[in-house]
Amino acid sequence: MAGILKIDNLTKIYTLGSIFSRTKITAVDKVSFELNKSEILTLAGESGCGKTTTSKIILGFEEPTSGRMYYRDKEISSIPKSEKKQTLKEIQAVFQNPFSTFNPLRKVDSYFYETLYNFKIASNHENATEIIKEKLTAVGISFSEFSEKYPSEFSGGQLQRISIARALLTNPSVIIADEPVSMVDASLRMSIVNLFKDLKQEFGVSIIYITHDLATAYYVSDRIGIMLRGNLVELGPAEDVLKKPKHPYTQLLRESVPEADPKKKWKKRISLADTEYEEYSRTGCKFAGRCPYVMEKCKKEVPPYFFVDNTTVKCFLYENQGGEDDGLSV
Amino acid sequence: MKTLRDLLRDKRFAFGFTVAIILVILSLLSFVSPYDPTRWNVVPRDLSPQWPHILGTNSMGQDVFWLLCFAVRNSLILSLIAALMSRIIAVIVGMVAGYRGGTVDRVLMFFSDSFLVLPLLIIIILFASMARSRLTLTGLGLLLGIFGWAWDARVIRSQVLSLRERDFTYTAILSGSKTGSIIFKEYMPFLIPLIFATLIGNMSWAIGMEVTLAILGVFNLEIPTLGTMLKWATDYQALLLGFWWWILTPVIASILLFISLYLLSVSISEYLDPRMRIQRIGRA
Amino acid sequence: MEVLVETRNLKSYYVLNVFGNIKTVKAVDDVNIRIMKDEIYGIAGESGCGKSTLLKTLFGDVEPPLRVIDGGVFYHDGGKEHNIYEDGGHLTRQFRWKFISYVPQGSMSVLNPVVKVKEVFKDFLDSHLKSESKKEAFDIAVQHLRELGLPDNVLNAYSHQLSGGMRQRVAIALSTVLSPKVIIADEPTTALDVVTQRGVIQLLKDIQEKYKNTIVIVTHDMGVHANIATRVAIMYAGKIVEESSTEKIFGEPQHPYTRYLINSLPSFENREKRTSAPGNPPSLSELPSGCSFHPRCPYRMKRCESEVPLLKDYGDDHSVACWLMEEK
Repeated sequence: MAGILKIDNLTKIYTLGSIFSRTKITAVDKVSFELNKSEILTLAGESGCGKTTTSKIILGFEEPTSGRMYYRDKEISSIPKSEKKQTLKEIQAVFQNPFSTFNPLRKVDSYFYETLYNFKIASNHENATEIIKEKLTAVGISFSEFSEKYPSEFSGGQLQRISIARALLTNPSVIIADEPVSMVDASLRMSIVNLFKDLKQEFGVSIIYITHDLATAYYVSDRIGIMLRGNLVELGPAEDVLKKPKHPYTQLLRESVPEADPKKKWKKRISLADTEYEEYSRTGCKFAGRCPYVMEKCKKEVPPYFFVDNTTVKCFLYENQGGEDDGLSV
Repeated sequence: MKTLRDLLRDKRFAFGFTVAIILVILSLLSFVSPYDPTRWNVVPRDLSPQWPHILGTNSMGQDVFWLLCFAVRNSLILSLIAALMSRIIAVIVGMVAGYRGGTVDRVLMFFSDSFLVLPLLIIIILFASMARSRLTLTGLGLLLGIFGWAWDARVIRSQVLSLRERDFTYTAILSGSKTGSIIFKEYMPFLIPLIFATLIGNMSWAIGMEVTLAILGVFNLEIPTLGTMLKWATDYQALLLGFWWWILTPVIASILLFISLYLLSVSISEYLDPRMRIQRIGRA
Repeated sequence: MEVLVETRNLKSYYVLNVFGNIKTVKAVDDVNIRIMKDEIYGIAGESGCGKSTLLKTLFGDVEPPLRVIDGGVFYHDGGKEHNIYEDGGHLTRQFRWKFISYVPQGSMSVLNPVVKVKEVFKDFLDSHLKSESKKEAFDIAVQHLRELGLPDNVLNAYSHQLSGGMRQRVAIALSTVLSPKVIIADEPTTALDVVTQRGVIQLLKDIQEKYKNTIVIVTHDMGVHANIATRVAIMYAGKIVEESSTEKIFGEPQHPYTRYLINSLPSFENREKRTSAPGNPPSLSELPSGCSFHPRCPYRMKRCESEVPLLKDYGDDHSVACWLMEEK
């Protein structure tokens, strides 16, 4: 199998409330995809679409309600506890807010040494320092500006690079980056996004990039998956999904991105949903309430996946065009 | 040290600290007292303040000043035992409940809430009156400790709960740290101001309980404490008879002790507050 | 074109005392701008560059440790000019919400969570229109919401029952119910989704077209500026470094920082490599000498290290604060 990581029908249902009034929220609804070696796969969508929950499940911070995950062809839940640490080593993460990624009362370098000792990558201080210097160089930070400092002594951009360096310490095969540049200033963003591209190219790391910023997603990804209220509604090469979006929701997203070009202002008007809650609990297609092409069928049945032109789409509009798909073939 | 100098800049701390030092000196002086506090009639009775009895003497023929030294010492020791005991329980219960969550949390909080709901005063009076003359200072300290942790356990638990969801917990897990290490290395710095503030608050509470018990006559009146001094003075109608020095001494000492503990607690916890510490990091 | 709000040599700093050390954060450092009638004025810049502080100062919302050290903010109302910092705040209260209103950052949390939205409107209207009865105030609110295209059942809801986008739009409705001439919005779309953001921006545009008032919008999202602003000012380290029409800022940026900013923006046109400005923005309490951008500027000259360039109009309403312009 070409894929390093394979997610199969992952589902996560949260139950809220007490004995008297229980509500179920399906945060992740039968999501399946594969992550290949040396690729950047973006999971994009608005907040509440399930992208962060999916990443938490992959990292092991949440238990899925159902579904399976495979890492290098081995099912993750069947991995014995003693080897779990090994898997942890190979899947690392970079979070959105660099200032909450590190404990503000601890010196940042302490995390680095700790990681190296915990995973037995280095046995003494000199070895560890060598490895740390190597990773810092890869992200463009010098050891002298890094050493013996607290998180608050760095700027957001620097600290995020340091966070990436920390994720690289264990030589992971997969990095999950959750909105890694949304809190970094516009003028510095690109250098960090470029860093992810370099990591893929030079170190062969596979990256799951989570964001709601489609323009950056277009710039950095090989493939993109669009999520809506827990469903993966479209998955395909970045060029196809963003330039020729198939799913009506992807089309809406693409049109709604404010482009940084005064010649390209929005022309059409839109109306907004008043509450988000009702979309979660819909039967049938989750987008039926806002879809300009909605059919009766869409309100009652959940659309399956269809494979059209290199892209997997979860929409009845494509029923007659492509073959049915289990969502994994792309 | 630098920390002390920084703290002293805060006038509240300066005042509280000064009073606390004076009280500690008084307690230490008790070791060189020329009189045994449990004996009566070692000096002439009912003398108003004059040298060598700078705070006068009481109706049992004891020197008020030296008695005060013992009283302060005993009250402080008592409150320290009670506060330390209850801190230990509160911290353990709070941390475990906060980090583990789920059933463990529910069970521990059930116990904690039960302790909160119980009418503590009545139960302590019950225990104390059963043991009355055999209740030593340490005994009372431990008793108060066992009952004083419930409130603070919840406070610590909620802090741990919020810390658990912070990103840096995940970073620590990804760095391969084990649960115990996470709790100590990551959370302790945040919990220490809480522990400190509640420690001092607890000390005040313990002294207050002691005074109450003494006045109600449920405590061993042989042991000199601020409470027992008050008790003896009121029993012997010191105010009525005009022996103001006898009654005012424990009253003023108690007030000063409470004020000083409060000021120390407020200024120290503000100093230790993570947000303030983060601000100070830059200029180091 | 009529000037509505003007700042002259405005300096507002945060003066902090951290355990004995005095730290001065120069958030707004000698700013001179003029905001006109019937325009949408965008202020862009990195977070921490002072834009939020500038807005607060424009609105008169200045509380210690923030102080106006120098200069003034002038409201031009019906031919008369008022410096709002002159008489210790009385003037400010008179003008608030009627001449100028403010939608602060994260204003979705500004709505009182324990009362229904209509109560919020009523309290608001009560304190400004003394003569209205309960019913009249309610009617004004309904009318206003209808004009803005918002459903009036919103009034009977509690704020937590509404989505983030709806709350934001209610906050905007609240700030415009008294028909102010100037509306200041601080990051109105930051925590919102792309689609919701579009709805909110659409609302702001509608308001401006309908009432022909002025909107000052601060956001770091350049796409929003491109879509809605008529003029844009770029702020860096407490100073305005470039100001011009939206087309010129995006099409012909002059200041090196603006150039880096515009060139680094990703677009759907192509996937060619983009680069950011090197280095990091300075801390507002430890600004470099001379031009604050000089440590990162590839074109820096000797002059830039010691002299602060002033914002000058180089023709065609395009102002730049850069010594390079002098050489041309």
